[in-house]
Amino acid sequence: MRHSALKGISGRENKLTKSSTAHTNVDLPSETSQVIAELKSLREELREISENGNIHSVCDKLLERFDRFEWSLAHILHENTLSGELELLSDIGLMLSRAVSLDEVLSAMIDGLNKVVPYDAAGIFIHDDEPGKIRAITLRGYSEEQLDKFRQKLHEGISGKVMSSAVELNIPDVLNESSYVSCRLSTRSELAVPIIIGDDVLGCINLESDKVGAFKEENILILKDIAAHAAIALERARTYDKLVAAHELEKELQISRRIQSALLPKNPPEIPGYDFGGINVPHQDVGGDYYDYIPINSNNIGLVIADVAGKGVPAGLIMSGLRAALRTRIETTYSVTWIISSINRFLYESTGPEAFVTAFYGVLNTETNELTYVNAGHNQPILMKPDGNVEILKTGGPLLGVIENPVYDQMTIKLESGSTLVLYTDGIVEAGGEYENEFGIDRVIDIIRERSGEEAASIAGSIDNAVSQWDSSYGTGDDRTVMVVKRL
Amino acid sequence: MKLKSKIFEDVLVLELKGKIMGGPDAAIFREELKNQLDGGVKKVIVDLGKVDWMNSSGLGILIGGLTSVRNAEGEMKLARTTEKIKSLLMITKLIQVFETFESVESAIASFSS
Repeated sequence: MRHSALKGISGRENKLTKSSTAHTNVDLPSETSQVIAELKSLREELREISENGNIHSVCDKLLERFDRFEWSLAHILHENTLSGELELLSDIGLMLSRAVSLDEVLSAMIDGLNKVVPYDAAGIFIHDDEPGKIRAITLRGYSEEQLDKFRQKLHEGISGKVMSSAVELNIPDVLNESSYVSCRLSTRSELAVPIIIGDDVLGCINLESDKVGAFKEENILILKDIAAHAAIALERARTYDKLVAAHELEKELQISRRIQSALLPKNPPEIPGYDFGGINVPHQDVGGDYYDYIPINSNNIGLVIADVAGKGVPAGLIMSGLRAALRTRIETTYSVTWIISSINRFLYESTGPEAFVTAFYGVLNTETNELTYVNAGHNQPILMKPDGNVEILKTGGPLLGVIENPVYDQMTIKLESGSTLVLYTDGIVEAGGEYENEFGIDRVIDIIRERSGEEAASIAGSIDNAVSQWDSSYGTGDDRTVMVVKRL
Repeated sequence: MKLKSKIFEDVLVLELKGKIMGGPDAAIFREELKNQLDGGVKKVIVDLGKVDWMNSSGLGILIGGLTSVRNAEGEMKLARTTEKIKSLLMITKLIQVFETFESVESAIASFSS
């Protein structure tokens, strides 16, 4: 990680720091060479005095100079520590500006730290997914066995305390500290500093030493500087993880969308004397609308349109369940009311009270041209007769999934030659929002009347187009589905 | 959606106002109703007179409410249903499930009769 430009920067900063922190009230040599020079001159002086035979003068001179050397050495030591810290901080800063993994940054931090504030064991801890628990992300000096032992109790110890209080703790003697949770038997002193960003405590840096009182006041300051950098590293990683998760979710949604669109009919059935067409436009990637043509036998075909309350993946899941439940029941029975009652029970038992489905299910006999249907609280389909008269298909019962045992009625109607049956979901008639702006059933009827001579798919497309334009002017945003059955 | 709770003797009147569209609205309604039911309320009226608009998710709020009240062995009735809500209740045939009243007073009176 060392970098020549970096050395230049930390070197400059060192000089600045030196001039501002030098002990100007005491006349001290600030460089080691000067100390050595002074020691040489002292030796000469002492030799001279001792040659004169005055032992008291030697002692006086020694005592006087002893104090000055103590200051000098302390100062040199302090300067060296500072320059080490600055170099470490610059290195970490450089790492943070590059695309280096969190693990690499934290490892460099904790290893570099050992040169500045020597420790026997160290760890960086963060909150665990399990509330109230914490976990280590970078560790030095602990054996696996030691870690296993205290992993469960980590949050009860010094690190946990520092993370919940957001205040650092310097424990000079762990044997006198009640909240100390022993991990390494040889540890005697401990220093922990929180990693904070804004008001959030992201974690803590914890150092342990085998010596009593190993960590001094100035070590706390250094550790706080490092913790500020660790905070940036952790926050950066957290933001990055969120971005990755959002991307993953986006991919999953696309997959769900693909699965769901595969559940909708790809092509309308081809039955002589009839023309079918449908369109489904989900508002979100995954929608809650469903329509289907289900072949029963050579003369009968099941027609279904349904709308699951809500949107997105939860609605999509209920829709997939509904489709499977419907298809298995249709295989075993003809009775439309039995099928709808059974689906109602299935949804009532498997979903919460706010999840419901409106559905229309009918069986079209293409030989007798009769449609037997039950409308379970769904937007009422429109039958445009050849003479232009309209019949609304409302017979049935309440929507599905919220009432335990409702009664469903069925109705059989005749599809005369030239009839157009249009089924749709609320995204069509409720488009536009507040009810004075709602697209409404009358506009749908107008379009059917105007275009009844066209093919089924084209009628469905025209209705959806008109609604889409209406919706973009007023806007509510719901799934839109239209299904058209024409008897030629 | 705005929600106001009023108590008339032992009847809770939940007055809804604005657009009812599911999502956060559902959570507000559910929470208030739950608190009141936990407090021992058994008679609930939802006053819809000031509701401008409601979609099918909004309808889910009423259905969820009805279920919660019934589970607490109480009763929930609707008062002052607007044309839009009436039409939603007609289409979904929930008109068979919800008792509806023209005024809050008549709804309150129905509990004592």
